[in-house]
Amino acid sequence: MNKPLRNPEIVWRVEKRRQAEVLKALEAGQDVDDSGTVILLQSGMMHQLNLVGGLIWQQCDGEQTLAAIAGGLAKEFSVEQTDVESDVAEFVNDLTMRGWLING
Amino acid sequence: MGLDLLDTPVRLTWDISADATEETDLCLPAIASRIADGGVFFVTLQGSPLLHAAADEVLRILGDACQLLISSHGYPEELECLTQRPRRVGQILLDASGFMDVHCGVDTVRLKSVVTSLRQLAYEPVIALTPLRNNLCNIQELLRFCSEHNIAKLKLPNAHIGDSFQGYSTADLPRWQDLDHFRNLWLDFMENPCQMPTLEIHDLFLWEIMTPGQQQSRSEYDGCQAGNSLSHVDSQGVVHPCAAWPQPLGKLPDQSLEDIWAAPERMAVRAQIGKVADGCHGCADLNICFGGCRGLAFHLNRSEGERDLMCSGPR
Repeated sequence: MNKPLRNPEIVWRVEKRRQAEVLKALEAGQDVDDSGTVILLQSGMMHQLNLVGGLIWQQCDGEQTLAAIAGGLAKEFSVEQTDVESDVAEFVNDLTMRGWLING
Repeated sequence: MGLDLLDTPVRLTWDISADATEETDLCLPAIASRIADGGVFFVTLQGSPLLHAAADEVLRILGDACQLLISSHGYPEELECLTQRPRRVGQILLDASGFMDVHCGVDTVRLKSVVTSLRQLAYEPVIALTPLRNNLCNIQELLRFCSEHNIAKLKLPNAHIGDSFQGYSTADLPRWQDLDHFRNLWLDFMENPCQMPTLEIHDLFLWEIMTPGQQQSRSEYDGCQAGNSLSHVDSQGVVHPCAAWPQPLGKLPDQSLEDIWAAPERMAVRAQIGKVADGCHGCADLNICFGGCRGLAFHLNRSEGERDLMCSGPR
């Protein structure tokens, strides 16, 4: 998939307060992998994405390529783009298999 | 990953009742705006929202912000209100309790008439029935009605307690002994089943009987969502963890939903839910039901270790 797009049937929102708390915890060196910052509902089921997943999700607007999404994420966390490319691709692939992302 | 603490609820029920004070009436649009600003996805307006003077304003505000379910008893004056509305907003949740008779079952003639009227107004109703001891035996008949009249969804919500008992008392709430009887009725029903509508069953123990073998569909469930993704606003604007958990957490529109959800009172509710109830210790199915409806259990079943009312004991 080149330009992933969020499935329009999914309602979602960013938990802004929670996201700020999680960012603060991350800066303090805590493990935030299980902390949800984006909630989404599909077919009545609620799911949450963690900080990194939520940031990728927010960028899946059907306009940005995987490389651009990885670039944005690398900038956010001050790492090399090549360090996150495979993680972004894997995450997008997982969400595509679930039907949460479609090809934009 | 389980559901983490949310900034605001995702689903909210709001009682808009005729017994609200004049002061509260004036606040309804402001309360609706607070709910809309809180990013709530689904709002169910309960009581008699269509008959309220502020209905138009409330529906306009919420209709643009979230998915709305509007409760109706099918009264002629409610249908008249819908006739006069300029555009269709939300979905009608037709409360079937007014169509029940202990002796005669479901008044299908009158129910059909109301469904037909709603369809003429371009509303496709969802039918709802709060399961009570005296109407559990009517669920099968209601399902056949849904099948015969192409009703897409039957909703069986949990009972409201606190300020919003809606024509019933604690003695009317079903207990596990009632479910034993219902289980037998259900087995009879399943020998000659009908085309099922989509079932939305809040109570886990009722759901377990009515949807055997579908445990996977609740695989993401990780426990009571009162005070997290669920909330209830009473007719005075007071916010509670859910409709089955009467505990004031704050008040709309004086406070925002975000601030109420960040307050210690709400956190205390979530901490209470996180504890294993005395009556659930040692249960092999605890990781499936997570204690069931914690609100009803905390408030009405302390004598049995705060177990879900419909649970007979640890498995």
